[in-house]
Amino acid sequence: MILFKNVNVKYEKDKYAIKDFSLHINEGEFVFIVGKTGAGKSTILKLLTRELKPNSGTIRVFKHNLDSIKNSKLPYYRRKLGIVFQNFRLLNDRSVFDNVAFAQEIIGVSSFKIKKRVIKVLNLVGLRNKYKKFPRELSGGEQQKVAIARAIINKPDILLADEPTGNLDEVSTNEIIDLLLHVNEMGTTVVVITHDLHLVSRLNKRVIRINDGNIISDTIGLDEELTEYINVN
Amino acid sequence: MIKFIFKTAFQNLGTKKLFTFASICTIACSVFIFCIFFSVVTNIRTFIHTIETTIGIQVFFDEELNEEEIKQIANSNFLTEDVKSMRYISSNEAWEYFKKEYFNDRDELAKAFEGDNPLANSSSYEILLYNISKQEEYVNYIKTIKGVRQVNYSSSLINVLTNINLGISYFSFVLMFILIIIAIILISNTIAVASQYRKNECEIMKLIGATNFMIRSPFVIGGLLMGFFGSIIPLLVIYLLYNYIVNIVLEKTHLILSILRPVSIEYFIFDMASISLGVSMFVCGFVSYITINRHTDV
Ligand SMILES: Nc1ncnc2c1ncn2[C@@H]1O[C@H](COP(=O)(O)OP(=O)(O)O)[C@@H](O)[C@H]1O
Ligand SMILES: [Mg+2]
Repeated sequence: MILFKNVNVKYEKDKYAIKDFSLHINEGEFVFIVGKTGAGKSTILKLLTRELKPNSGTIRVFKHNLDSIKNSKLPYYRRKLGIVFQNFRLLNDRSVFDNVAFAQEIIGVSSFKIKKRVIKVLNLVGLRNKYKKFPRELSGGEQQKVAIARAIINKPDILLADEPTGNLDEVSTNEIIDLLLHVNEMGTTVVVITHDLHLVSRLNKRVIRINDGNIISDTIGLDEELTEYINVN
Repeated sequence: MIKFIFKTAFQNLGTKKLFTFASICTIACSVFIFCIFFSVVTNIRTFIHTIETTIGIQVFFDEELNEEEIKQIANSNFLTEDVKSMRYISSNEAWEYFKKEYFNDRDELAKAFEGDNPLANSSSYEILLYNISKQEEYVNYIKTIKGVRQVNYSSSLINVLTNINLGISYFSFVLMFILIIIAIILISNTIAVASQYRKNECEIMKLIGATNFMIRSPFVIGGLLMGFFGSIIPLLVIYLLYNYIVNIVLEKTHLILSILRPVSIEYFIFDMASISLGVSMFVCGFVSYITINRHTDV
C-alpha cells in the first residue's frame, strides 16, 4: 500500500538525492529505514508527506497517486499519516495537553471528544499526570512521547518517524520503540528512520538500507555487512 | 474548531503586542478622524437644510405699490422651477410677528406704537427655494424685476457653512487617506511577523492535515479583530464625548442660534458606526487575507 516506482529526486542539478528508487511496503508492516547521514532517508519521508514532489517516477499510498493528488485533497490524505519529526517539533508555547489536542482541533473534532481522546492517548504514552506541563519542562524522551501522542491521536493508517530516538538515552529509546511496536500491533503501518543500528539489530523487523539515494539491501534484521559492522564496534 | 480559530487569532495578536497595538492605534486614529468628519458634516448639512427650509428670501416692494399690484408682480414673475413655496406677508402680519418676537407680548411696549404700524408699507413675499445653492442666481433675477425694492437673504452664512463643509471634507479625506495607508502597512506587517513567528506551527499544521482555511483563518480573524477594536474604541469615545464637545464648540464660537440646534448623536451614530466598522473590518480582513496568502502555501 506504499509503493515507490522508479522515483528520482534532485534538489540540485545533476545531483540525485533519490535515484531510481523502488519500494513496496504492505499494510501492517513495521519497517526500519537505515543509512548514513545524507543517504536520502528524510527525503523519502518528505515524498510520503508530499512536502516534496519527485522529479520523475510514481508514488502511490493507498488509493492516492501522489503525483496527481489535488491540493484541496492533500490535507485529507495527510490525515491518514501520523508524523514524528526528527526534532520533536512541539509547540513550545502550549501545554502537553494542547500540543496533543492541537492535532484534533485542526481537523475539527469537538472539544468534548478531544478531551476524552487526549487523556486516553496521554495514558498510553505514560504522560497523563504531566498534561499541564510545557515542553521545556520535559525531558527529551518525554517530549518525544508527546510528539508520538500527537502523531497517533488521529488514528493514522501509517506512522512515519524520522530519527525518533536520535537524541535520547537508552532507557528512553527503549520506551519509544515499545510505544511504536504497540502502535504497530494495533494495526498501524510503522516506518521508522534511524541510524541506531544497535536498536535495529535487537528487533527482528524488516530493514531497508539505503545509500546515495538507492536501496542496497532489504532484509529481515540487519544485512550481513551491518551485522559484522556492529559486532566489531 | 471556531474556538480554536479564535484562540489562535488572539495568540497571533498577542505574540507581537507592539505591532498589534500600533496597528489598532492607527486604525483608531483614522476612524476617529472619520467620526469627527462625519459628525461635523452631518451637523453642517442639517444646519443648511434647516436654513433652506426655514429661512427664505424676503422680497420687499416699492412703497407706492398696493397689495393687488404686489401680488400681481409676484404671481407673474416669482414662480420659477426653483421655487418651493412663496407666501405673502402683509405689513400687519409682519408687525404682529415683530411684536411677539421682540416685545415678548409685553403689551406696554407695544402700546407705545398703538394705532401706528411702524412697518406699514413693508408687506413682503417670503420665498423658499428647493435648493439653497440656486439662491444667488435667483436673487439676482428677482432684483431685476420692476417694483422690487429690496431682497433680504442669508447668503454669507450659507457660504461660510458650505466652505467649512468643503474644507473639512477635503482635510479629513487627505488625513484619512494617509492614515489608512499607514494602517494597511502596519496590519500587513503585523500579520507577516505573526505568520513568520508561527511558521513552525503552520508547517506542523499543514503536515498533520490542516486545510488552508484552518491555517489562514486565524490570521484573517486577527485582522478583523484589529479592525473591530480599532473602530469600536474611537466610536465609544465619540459617543461619550459628543455632547460635551458640541457644547464647548457652540459656547466658544457663539454659534448658538435658536434655529441651529446641534444634531443629537443618536440620530447618526448608527450610520457612522456601520460605516466605520464595516470599512475598517473589511480593509483589515482583506489586507490580512492577502498577506497571509502570500506567506503560506500548501
Ligand atoms: N532542501 C535541500 N536542498 C538541497 N539539498 C538537499 C536538501 N535536502 C536534502 N538535500 C540533500 O539530499 C541528500 C539527502 O538528504 P536527506 O534525505 O536529508 O538525508 P538523510 O535524512 O538520510 O540524512 C543529501 O545529500 C542532502 O544534502
Ligand atoms: Mg534526515
